[in-house]
Amino acid sequence: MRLLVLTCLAAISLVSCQEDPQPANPTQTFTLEFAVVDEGTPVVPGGTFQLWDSVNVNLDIFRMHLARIAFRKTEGTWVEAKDVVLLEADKPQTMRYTLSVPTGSYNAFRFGIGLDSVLNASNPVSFPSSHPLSAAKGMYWSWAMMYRFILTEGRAAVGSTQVNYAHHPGRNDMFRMFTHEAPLAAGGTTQLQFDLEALYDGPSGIVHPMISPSIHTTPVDLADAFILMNNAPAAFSVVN
Amino acid sequence: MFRGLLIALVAGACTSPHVSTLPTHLGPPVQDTAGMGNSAAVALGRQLFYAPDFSLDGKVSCGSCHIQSLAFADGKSTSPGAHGRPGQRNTPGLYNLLWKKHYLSEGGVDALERQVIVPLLTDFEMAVPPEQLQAMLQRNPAWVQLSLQAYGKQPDWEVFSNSLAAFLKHLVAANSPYDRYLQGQEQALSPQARAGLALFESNRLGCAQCHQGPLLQAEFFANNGLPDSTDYGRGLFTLNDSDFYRFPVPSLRNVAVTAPYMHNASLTTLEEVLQHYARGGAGHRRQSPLIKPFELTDAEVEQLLHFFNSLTDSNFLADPRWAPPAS
Repeated sequence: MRLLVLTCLAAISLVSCQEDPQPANPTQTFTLEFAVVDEGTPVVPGGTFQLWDSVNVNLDIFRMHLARIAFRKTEGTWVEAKDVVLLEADKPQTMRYTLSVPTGSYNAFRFGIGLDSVLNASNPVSFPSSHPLSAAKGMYWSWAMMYRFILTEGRAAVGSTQVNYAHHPGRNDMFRMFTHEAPLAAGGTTQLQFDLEALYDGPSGIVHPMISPSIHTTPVDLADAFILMNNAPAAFSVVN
Repeated sequence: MFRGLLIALVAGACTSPHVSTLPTHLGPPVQDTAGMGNSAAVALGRQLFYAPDFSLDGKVSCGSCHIQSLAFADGKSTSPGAHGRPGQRNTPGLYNLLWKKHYLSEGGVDALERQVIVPLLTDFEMAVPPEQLQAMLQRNPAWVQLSLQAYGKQPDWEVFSNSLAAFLKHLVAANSPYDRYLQGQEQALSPQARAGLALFESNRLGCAQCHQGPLLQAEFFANNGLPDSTDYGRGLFTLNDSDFYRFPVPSLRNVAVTAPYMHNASLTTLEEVLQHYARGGAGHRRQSPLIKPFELTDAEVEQLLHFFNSLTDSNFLADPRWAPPAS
């Protein structure tokens, strides 16, 4: 017994004396920084912007899930760095992510807008309140066991006519990808903008918040929900 | 560490064999029964069910719209939510939820633990600010204590969901005269009610084509021929054209105390319901082909009403275990 104790103590002391080993898999970081804008001008909840130079919009809420954020090595393989984040335009800490990947040379990144079917089937009560998929984030459609992909609400007005709008697109077949191809510097920051005007007026069509104030991905507004989600990738741009 | 161990031991001690013996004549439950024996969880779920804290105006609890004496329906067409926001559909009764595969009119929820957060988060129901729920739970020392006993942790979303579901799983209504009849006590049903049962099961009326088995329900969705409306029912969830205007077939247990009827509360009495089906429905363009007109004499209506009344489990409606807890 005494011998055993001495052996253990020796082993512990040997371990303690070793220098910190080099990590087995060295990593580097990339930072993605997001901003919600209207034609280049930042917009935050509580602020205003104009659509088509004629519709005055007060933005109350803007939230959007991004999923499967991945970086591509120059030899072609994709490395997922983060499963899901939630951009909350009123919380700056949710708009910037420093992500670790194995050391190497990378020439592209991508992310999904919304949630893929696996993430969309998550149980929102199983996450801590701070998690992007927690019920506490207000993105969960409890009656259908899935999540809103984008949640934006506010008031749109032309002249004295004002309409409250609530746009909540999202379901499995609305998951869209954004990809950016360019050499990426280790430790560097990529700034991305999400243009609200491009969300409402993009390659897939126009959604006018005063004509379609209520979009909840139901049979009556499905076409508009698709337009928003189809426009979303083109609303992203890299500015540096 | 020792505190954690102690809490875990206490939680284990509360996983008692207290779970009610489930009635076998209803068949095996569809939902998971695992959490039902956790008596602290059930006690917490009961408190949460009746607490108005989780609504936007602090005035609406689950128990506001689910009243025990009405089989946890509420007798209203639609129930107002926080700040009086109008509800959209008739409040269903709550009983025998263990034997359901799908919840809500859309059938979009398949687990009771997931169902219980629906009214909480729905704008026209309780509409609790979701980011505040955990803090609300943790402000109440009694709930914290029960949560620690039940789950060995501070109350959070998961505790809310699991404990409320554990309580609701205990709402079993299976001691009506009809139940005793099913268990071999033929005299538990009056001759009138037995005649009504025979009519109910007859091919002429065809009621049992949809209201099947001892639960008198079905797990499919159907259009029961009500006039057209803007409520897409099942289609709202699946977005499939073939599901538009279809609704789940509810259980008829306790039906005598859950008026008004239909998802839109458009029929106020059981006599009106019988008239609706006897007419062959109102001719909705998506109406189920199972609904066909039939003749009913006044005597037969009486017999059917006797049968419907025999489906009431009076003990369940007054069981003190499911009543609001003493404050």
